Amino acid sequence: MNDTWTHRLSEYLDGGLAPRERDACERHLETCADCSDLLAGLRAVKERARALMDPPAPDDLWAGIATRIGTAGSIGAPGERILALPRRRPHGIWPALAAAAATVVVAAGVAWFALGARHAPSAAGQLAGAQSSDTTAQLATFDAARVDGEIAQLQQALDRGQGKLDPRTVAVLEKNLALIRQAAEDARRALAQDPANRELQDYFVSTMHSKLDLMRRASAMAGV
Amino acid sequence: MLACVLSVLVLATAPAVPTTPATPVALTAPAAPAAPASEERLPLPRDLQELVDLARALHEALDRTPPPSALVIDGPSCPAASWELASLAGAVGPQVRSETTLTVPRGTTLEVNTFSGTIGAQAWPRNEVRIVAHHGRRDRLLPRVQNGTLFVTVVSRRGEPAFGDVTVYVPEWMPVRLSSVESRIDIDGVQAGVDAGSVQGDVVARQTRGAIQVHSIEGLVRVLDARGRVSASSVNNLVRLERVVGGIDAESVNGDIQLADVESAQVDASSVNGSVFFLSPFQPRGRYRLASHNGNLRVGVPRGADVDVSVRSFRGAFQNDVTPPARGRGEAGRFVFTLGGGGSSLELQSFQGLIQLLRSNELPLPQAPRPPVATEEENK
Repeated sequence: MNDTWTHRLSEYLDGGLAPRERDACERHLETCADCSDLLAGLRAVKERARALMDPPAPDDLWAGIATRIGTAGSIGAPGERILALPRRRPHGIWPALAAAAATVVVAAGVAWFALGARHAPSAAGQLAGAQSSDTTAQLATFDAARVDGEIAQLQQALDRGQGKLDPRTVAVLEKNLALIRQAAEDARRALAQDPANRELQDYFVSTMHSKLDLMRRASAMAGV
Repeated sequence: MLACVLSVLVLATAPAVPTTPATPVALTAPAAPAAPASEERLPLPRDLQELVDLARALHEALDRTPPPSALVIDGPSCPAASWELASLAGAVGPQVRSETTLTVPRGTTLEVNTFSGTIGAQAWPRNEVRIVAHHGRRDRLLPRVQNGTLFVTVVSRRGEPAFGDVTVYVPEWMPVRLSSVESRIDIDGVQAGVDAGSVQGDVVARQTRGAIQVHSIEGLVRVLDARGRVSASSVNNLVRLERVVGGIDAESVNGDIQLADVESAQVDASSVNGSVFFLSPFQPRGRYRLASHNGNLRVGVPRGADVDVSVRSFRGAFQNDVTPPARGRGEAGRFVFTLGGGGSSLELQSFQGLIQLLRSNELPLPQAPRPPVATEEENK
């Protein structure tokens, strides 16, 4: 089973597909038993994940780990204080790392579904205003499903704007939305590999929040 | 059609056309499907794209020349099938100049909205507002005061926003709000706050005082010699700020951000796909956050700078030519170090771009985009 829609079923489940894609996906599901089964499985996982909590990593997590493995150190330079924090690299502990990575991936997947369920796309009214409300607090943990949902909302707004806006402007906005979508995908992959990385979380939370807000304002300015 | 395009372009880019009455120049276009005069929305001609391209080329040409007040298209009937074509008619049809001067009470805000052409707002030392516009013969300049705001627009006979080059001379105390779909916007000397946005056009602000917000989707955004908080963004183009004194928020998705000679204790600059360039002194206790997802960060550090530096390069690389030992590359690469005595904070983040920390004298300022537009007075 490896068709066009296999990898997009979670987007479909989260309401992240554009209307035309959603319709095409549903038509495909009517004829593809494998994808229907997979979708049912995803729904089941999502339902179970609703009950799970997502404990945030403590802010001092990395500092504690660094102290225990003894990699923190300082590098002096004439006249300047320099502290280079270590980069995490495996040192002959592949089996343990592999097991840890597997655990992390599973946990991240569960958390992703759980967060997606908690923060189902709710940006319907945000496009209307030029300035959205500050949702930084809600995005303290990077929420891939929510970001996907907001991107989908913006895409849908652009779809509705087809024919009313200059096609060039629509194309520009779609291109930039695609860049943000790709950045979100990078975030998802990076955090799946390193879910406890608080800095990575913070980076993606602030980046996605500000860029989606910029796109909302731009869409409003364009009259979408 | 191509012959028509070339003919119009040649004339549109020709030296200045006199603003006093001139003999109309007739452009004869090749035969094309004629449209009934009574019907404005017809099926689009097959060569619509050529017409649209013509309109864009004309607008670009017009950006560099005074309004072609004596150009007439004598050829195919062009149905107003799209806003591009509608604005084309305004751009190349007979132009008229409208001018009015109004006395407005202190505290009045200016709001200009046009569809295409140019918008200029320039402060002058008088307590009145002078509006100068070039627009289509059938369109009209429409100023009106309502609820403490002076609204200025150019409208067609049907009341819709139309093509127009509008320059407004405003008292220094007057805040301005300027918006357009495709106009380039120029602001000069406004002292009481600016909010300007264009979907497709460039936005350039010079010599302003007070908080300013300047935004575009497709055009570049440039601010020079401003004093006050600046919020600047372009979704798909360059954001460049020079000699700004005040807090800065600069954003883009697919454009570069360049900050040069700014005196700011708070700078936030980020792009997804563009690079971020910073060449300015660090203020005591200032906070500087520069980020790009795919793009590079280039920061010039003046000699004697006192700054705490935090570098996070998740999948990119870090090149440090200021403190040689702090050089690294790789996943989860993070570097924290202090230059001089520290005090101000510099955070540099890139997911997969190159972060460069260089001495200021080794970091050349990128070439400036094309010069800001001449004002209406300068065009005379």
